[in-house]
Amino acid sequence: MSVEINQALEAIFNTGDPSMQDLANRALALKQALEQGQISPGEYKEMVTDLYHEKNINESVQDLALKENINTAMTALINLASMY
Amino acid sequence: MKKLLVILAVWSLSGCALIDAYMMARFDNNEYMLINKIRTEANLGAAKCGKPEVVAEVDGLWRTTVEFRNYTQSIPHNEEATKMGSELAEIVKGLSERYHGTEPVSMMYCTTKFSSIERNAVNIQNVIGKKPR
Repeated sequence: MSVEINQALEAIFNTGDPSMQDLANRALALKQALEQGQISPGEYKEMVTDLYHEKNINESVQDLALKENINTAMTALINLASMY
Repeated sequence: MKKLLVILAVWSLSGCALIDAYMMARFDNNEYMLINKIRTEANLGAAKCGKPEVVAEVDGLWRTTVEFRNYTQSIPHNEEATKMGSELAEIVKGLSERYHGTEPVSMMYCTTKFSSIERNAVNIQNVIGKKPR
């Protein structure tokens, strides 16, 4: 089980995506905290699930940021066009 | 006139995405205020971990998060903020349930959860703050 987790985390590290690597780092830290008895299994499970929610939030943040950039560009283009 | 035709041509090529972006929900003071409140409550709440007062901090944070989620849902063309609000609520819900449960809550769980909530709230606040005026 531990080998599978380590392999999955290693695959995430190899993606080169900084936000995914950050999540993998935190998943690893949680695993170590569980092994050292700093958190209970229930707390561990919940906080690992939180990483999934965080990934979804990051995706929505990127989607909204893209929309904002397109909106800015469209508004500028329309303003420019209205000058002619 | 030529530029206008270029704009119209670009618009028609990938119409849906562009129209979607052009019609997106504008900056909303209340939405921004609520996410800032979540960020602040998470920031201050972490200092109460291990103390009895933390329960009141968690209750306040949960209430504000539900308020933020509900507020974003009724704004048209606001799908991303709605999704972010729902996902953030899932994170805070766990904290609230654990503090109202029977099992003891570890110090590391408490500080990590508040830190996670604050980090996500900052990310959401930054992008919501850049919505078009």
